[in-house]
Amino acid sequence: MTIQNPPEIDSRKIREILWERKKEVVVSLKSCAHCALCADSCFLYRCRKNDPKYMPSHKVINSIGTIYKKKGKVTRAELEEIRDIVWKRCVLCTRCYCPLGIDIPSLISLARQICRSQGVVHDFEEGKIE
Amino acid sequence: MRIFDFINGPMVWFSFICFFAGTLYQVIAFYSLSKSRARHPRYQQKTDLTRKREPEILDRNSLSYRFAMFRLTVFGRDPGMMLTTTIFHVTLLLTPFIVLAHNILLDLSMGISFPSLSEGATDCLILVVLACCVFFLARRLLVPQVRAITTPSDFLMLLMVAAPFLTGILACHQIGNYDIMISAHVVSGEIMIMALPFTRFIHMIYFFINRFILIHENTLGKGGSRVWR
Ligand code: HEM
Ligand code: SF4
Ligand code: SF4
Repeated sequence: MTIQNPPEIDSRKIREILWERKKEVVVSLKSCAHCALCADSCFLYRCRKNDPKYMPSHKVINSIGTIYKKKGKVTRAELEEIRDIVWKRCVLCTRCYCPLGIDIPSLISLARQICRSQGVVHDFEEGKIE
Repeated sequence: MRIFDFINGPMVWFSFICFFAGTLYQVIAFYSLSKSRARHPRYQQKTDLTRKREPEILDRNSLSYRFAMFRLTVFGRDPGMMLTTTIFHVTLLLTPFIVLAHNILLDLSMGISFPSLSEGATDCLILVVLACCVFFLARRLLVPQVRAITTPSDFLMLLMVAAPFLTGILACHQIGNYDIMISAHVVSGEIMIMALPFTRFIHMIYFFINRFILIHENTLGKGGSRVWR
């Protein structure tokens, strides 16, 4: 059996997806006051003993924020890290509350869309007992 | 001094024009990049009178129930922060309008003025703003959750807010070199006004767009009327 090398990351494609919703991403990232008031509203954050990595704003900044900052030029390793953020640390339950009204689930789902476009997706079989 | 005349004259006009034009630009950009959509009607429990009502386990009108619900809001979860930020924003927006010196200048140049408070009262308001800034700074440095998402721009943001207030109160009480203080006050105020629609302070505009116009889980008021794209 031959192991195929994963295809290169197509940063042009990522940019295309990102640019379609550029203003939304830019103003959301810009208007976030980095105040951490959204933390308590995420049940995963509270289950994980208030681990900052599970704060809604932390997830947004380190997923779509990273992709935007690099203008789509992310490596596969970075994208895999982002995949773990947007699939393992968020379930898109849309319950997070930001006083400034930043739509966090919408940004996380955009990051998922970008990951999916590069074939970087969560392994739903992970940990399955054979 | 030429530079002093410039920052006290044309520069003031320029920064206000910058602020209004920038705000207008942001609002127009928002409307052109979003589209109108009707919100799904919110779920409403129909009171079916023919059905026998089940006994209520929870008295949703009771004070204790309401208090329990309030404790779940962001005000109940983090009262210290919410109280500080409310006081901060109210005094921040109010103080510039009721400073006596500002109103005298306004009266001299345009013949209009707002009511002013005594000098002692304005000093207190300025100190409140500065104290809130110190609270935010301390929170940024000490609370691990906030520190995890802090970037240098957050400190710059606090500095940009604090600078006009600090230099203003110092100039007013002739602490330090008055000429330098008052110029620093005018310049830092102008920089902040110009930066409002373009930098992180854009939240002043987008708070209202996000919470009242865009449709999402936490929209206030009528539930919003537009979506992105
Ligand atoms: C009228 C509109 C405004 C609204 C509704 C608003 C609302 C908010 C909210 C909800 C937060 C997050 C909570 C917090 O961190 O305190 C915030 C943070 C902040 N706002 Fe505003 N704001 C407004 C105008 C302004 C203006 C005009 C300025 C400054 C010139 C400003 C400066 C700040 C700063 C510096 C923070 C961050 C505080 C921190 O470091 O945690 N705001 N604002
Ligand atoms: S997403 Fe909202 S609540 Fe969370 S840190 Fe940013 S501004 Fe604060
Ligand atoms: S949508 Fe994600 S970030 Fe928001 S509350 Fe649910 S799990 Fe947390």
